[in-house]
Amino acid sequence: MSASRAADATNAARATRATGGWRSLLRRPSLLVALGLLLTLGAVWGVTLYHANQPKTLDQRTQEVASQLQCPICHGESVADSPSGLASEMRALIRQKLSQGESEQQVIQYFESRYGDAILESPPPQGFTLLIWVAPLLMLALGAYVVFVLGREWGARPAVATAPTEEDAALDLSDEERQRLRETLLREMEADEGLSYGALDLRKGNA
Amino acid sequence: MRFTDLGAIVLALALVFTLFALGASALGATLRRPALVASGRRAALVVAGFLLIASGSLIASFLTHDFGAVYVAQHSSLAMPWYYSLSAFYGGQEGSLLYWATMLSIFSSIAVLLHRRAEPLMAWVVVTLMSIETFFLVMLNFVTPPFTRITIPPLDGAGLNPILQDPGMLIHPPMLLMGYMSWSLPFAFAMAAMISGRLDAGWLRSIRRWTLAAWMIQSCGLLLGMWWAYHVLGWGGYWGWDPVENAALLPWLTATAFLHSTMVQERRGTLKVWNLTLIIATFALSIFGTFEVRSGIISSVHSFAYSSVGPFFLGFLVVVLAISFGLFFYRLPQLKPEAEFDSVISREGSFLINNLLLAGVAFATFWGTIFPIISADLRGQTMTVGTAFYQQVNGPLFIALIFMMGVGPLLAWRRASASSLLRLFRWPALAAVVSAIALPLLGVTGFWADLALAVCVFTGVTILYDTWRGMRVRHGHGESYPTALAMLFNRHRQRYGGYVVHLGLVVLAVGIIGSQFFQTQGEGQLKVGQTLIVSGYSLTYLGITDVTNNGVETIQTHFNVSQNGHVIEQVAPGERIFPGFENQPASIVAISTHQLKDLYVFLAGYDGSTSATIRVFINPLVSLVWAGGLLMVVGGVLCWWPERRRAARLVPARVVAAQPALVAAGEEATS
Repeated sequence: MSASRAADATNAARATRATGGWRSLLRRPSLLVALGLLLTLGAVWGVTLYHANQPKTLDQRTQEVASQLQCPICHGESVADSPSGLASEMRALIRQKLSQGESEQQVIQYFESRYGDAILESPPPQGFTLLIWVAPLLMLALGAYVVFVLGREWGARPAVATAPTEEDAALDLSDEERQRLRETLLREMEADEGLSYGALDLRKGNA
Repeated sequence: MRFTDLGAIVLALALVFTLFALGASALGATLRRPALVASGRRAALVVAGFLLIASGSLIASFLTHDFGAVYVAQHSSLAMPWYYSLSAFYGGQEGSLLYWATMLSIFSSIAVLLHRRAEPLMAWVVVTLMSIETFFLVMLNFVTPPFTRITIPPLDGAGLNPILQDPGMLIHPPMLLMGYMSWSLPFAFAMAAMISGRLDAGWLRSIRRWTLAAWMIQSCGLLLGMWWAYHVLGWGGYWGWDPVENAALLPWLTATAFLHSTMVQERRGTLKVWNLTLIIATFALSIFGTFEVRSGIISSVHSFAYSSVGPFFLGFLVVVLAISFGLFFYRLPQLKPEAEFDSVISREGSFLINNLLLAGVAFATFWGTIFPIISADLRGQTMTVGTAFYQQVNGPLFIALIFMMGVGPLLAWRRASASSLLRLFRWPALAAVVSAIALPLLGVTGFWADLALAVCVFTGVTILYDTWRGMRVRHGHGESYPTALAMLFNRHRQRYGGYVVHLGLVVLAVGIIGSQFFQTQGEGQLKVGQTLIVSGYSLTYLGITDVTNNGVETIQTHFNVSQNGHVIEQVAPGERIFPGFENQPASIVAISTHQLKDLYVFLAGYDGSTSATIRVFINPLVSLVWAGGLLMVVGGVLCWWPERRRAARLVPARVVAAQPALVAAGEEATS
């Protein structure tokens, strides 16, 4: 009688939810361990970030500036990436300017004044070009909102409304219906590998 | 008669038969005449035969060096070895389209032969496939004919673009084109379902393995493209968010979302509208990809064939979108969900979030790719959207995706209980937190690198831990551990195959993180005897060699590489100069792997025999990118591999009863 077994399982699951569930988590000592670990994590990351603020090497600074500039004679490659001779000369010039004490911003502006906006690997995020960043984020926010609204709908619906009750189990099902339900249940149990908790408990109970 | 004449004739015949198959199937399905439908199906098989002959003719023209054929003269030469003459087949516009059309006809035939029983749906599947085929055959017959001849043939051909004369290029473009093409099949089934109104889960079941196959082909195409870029382009990386790379990634992203959300529809009867949207988008994006590579509308390192077919493809794309979304809205009232969701904390909830993230990545990538066109059209301002944008937007989304990849597969359908969450995730979460603490102490000091690696640890451990739990349960019922593992894969191939794919992606992600955040590089002009030091590796310039073989000139510079004072190897970056392409040398990048670190040396320039300019990259963990990719493909094959019929179902009940209880659970109720 798989149908009634399913009902048993859901009842059992619901009982667990009512008595324990989220609240019981708070009473476990493992929670303290987890909290401790998270605090350690925060401390380690804090210290690391504090130490990470060391001045960058000339190599790193050259690389950073070069990767923000577009190689003028290539198809979609930055000055940092391009194997062309011109890019190589530009990298050398960047390095020279940086070592003479110019800031990264000054070097980029120097190239911008020579070659125009098109030299920038990514356009400055302002005005029209801000759209590049804004549109994907808006779409993502919209999608997240849809998922959130759906989620709230599901969460608000009482579990009883969808879970089978004793009445369901007692219903006079036709053989075909019973077979169909049995197969649905089995498919779900199989996919969850019998490790999913409802299914496992259910089998123990009937063993 | 020459091979080209034969090719031109069969191409014309193929178009006629395609139109017949299209008309007969459509009429037969509408008027319910099985004989007409069967005739249309056979015509589709004939089309494949004709196209194979056409492709064969083109190959024969290449191998016989028939330079009277314009296409052959433009893309090959006498000096080329036979295998590059073969790959010249898809080295240009006409051949690529012929390849696309041929593969489509072959896949259509396989579909026709495999799904003989799905009668009502199949007629419309054939209609859709043949409509796509019609577009390509019209192009091949009237716009870009591959068999055009000139009266006075040149003595030798122009040869193949040197960038294509590379082993990677032998298989990368056909794989990618086949990947694009293969989305036609899931799309055709979706269209058939919409036209015939049979929108139950039937069409989804029919395309599950087609979608997986297409996904694998596309994955292989992407990986081979990365491999090729890494070994040939010489900038020390494998993925530059180049428009052509993006175009190949886009259908892969939407298809990955589709593969997950179809599981929700199959199991719960929901997300029907979303699934149709995804499959239409995937096909449209694959047409966009084919078209973008060919049209040259966006400048890219990968474009090698520019032509005038852009407007035709754009027109086709518009027609595809108009028809498919027209049908979609017409059928919208029939796309009601059959079941309701119970909880977000469930398998279907996690798939929903995974779909949101994948769609987010896809949109951002698409937007970044086309924004320069929008900008040029609206504001007359040319610009490029560089890697920084993709890293800023897609990076965090990918981290979230990898996290969901760990969480999703373990949640129960409908609703997961709090206690099950704790039981499933305590060890993986602990491992992730511990690694997040340990990594900064070990020198991983960047926030994003540390976070990303910790998430990878979480997901990797989750997958391994869950597999281990499955093995332990089976072991408890008397199976040895290796048997238990084999049985898990055997019984639940989809699930564990999926785990292998996920694990592969985690490994790949670790490789990307390693090479993204910890790459070091150096550059220098060296005279013979001088040394360049890049993070512990000293490269000493020895000299230059120049060898000409079969007209191909190979120039190589030789360096001793030493570490801690010991010479560990010699590397020889250089370039090859092909006859006819003297100003387009193909570079030879020297790549050697030392304990998961790649030493990548590129010859940027040389001044006779006096000095050489090299760029040196130390790329940690790049090997993991290839290993992870391989693992993903293996997992894909596992998922795709046809499942054996469950023999146990037919075994008498008493035999089943003797089996371990857990194993028997599946059979018990059915027997």
